[in-house]
Amino acid sequence: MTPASASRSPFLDQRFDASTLYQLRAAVAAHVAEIGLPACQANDILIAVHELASNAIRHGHGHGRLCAWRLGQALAFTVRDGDAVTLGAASPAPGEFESLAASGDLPWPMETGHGLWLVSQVASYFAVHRDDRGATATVAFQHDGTKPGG
Amino acid sequence: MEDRPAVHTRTAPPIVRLAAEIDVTNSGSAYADLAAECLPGVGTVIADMTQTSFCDSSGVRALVRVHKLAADDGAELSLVITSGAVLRILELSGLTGILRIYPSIDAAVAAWRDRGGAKRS
Repeated sequence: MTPASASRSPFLDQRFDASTLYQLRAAVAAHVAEIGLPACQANDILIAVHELASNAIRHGHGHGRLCAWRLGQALAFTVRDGDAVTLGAASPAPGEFESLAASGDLPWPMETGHGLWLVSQVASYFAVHRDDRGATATVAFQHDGTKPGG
Repeated sequence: MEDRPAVHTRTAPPIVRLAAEIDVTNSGSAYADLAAECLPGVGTVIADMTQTSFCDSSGVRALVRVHKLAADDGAELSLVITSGAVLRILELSGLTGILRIYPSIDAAVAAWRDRGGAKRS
């Protein structure tokens, strides 16, 4: 059996700002295509990651960092606004998503909320943590596209 | 200088081609380009999104704002969309039943004709 924790290092770790949003999307699209997800799910992942990054650019510190992990049957992405260190360089544990999701309020700064609402529609898990250096959003997607508990 | 009629007969509605990828960095110009064509009596403005493969929530907001702007003048915004990704975000946003969406420029122009397009003079 393949252990869920086969890889604890991110398959993608990329900083972004307004001038590199396009490259960020291209990198996510390339990695997700390589994993072999169906086009519709790859597209949803692209929407979610882009909206989180773009939220950090518009309403946060103007720059951030995306990390992505394969965790068993899930793909997890953390989008850090500015220099937030929540979740550190280690991948989040799958169980952590649920506890984050259960925490309720999303403290991420937002203007209209449409972008983040879209994220919540497409992701299996979506949560935001905040520390004194910024916010970190975590989204996860099941490989088969299902939304457990959703 | 020759007088131009205030309302002239059109053989086709104005067509505005939008960028390949629309996000926070260029959704403002997408709005401006479309809004510039929303002149009194225009009837219909076609947004050519056949080259557009990605559109984010700011792009969606731009399209909705133009849709409302056009509606204020009794005009309509027609979207020509060929990308599944662009359709998907409009679908997620609950807009596919509200915005006029066509699979080709020809289909959008044909629909404009069916609505009586050129006979408005």
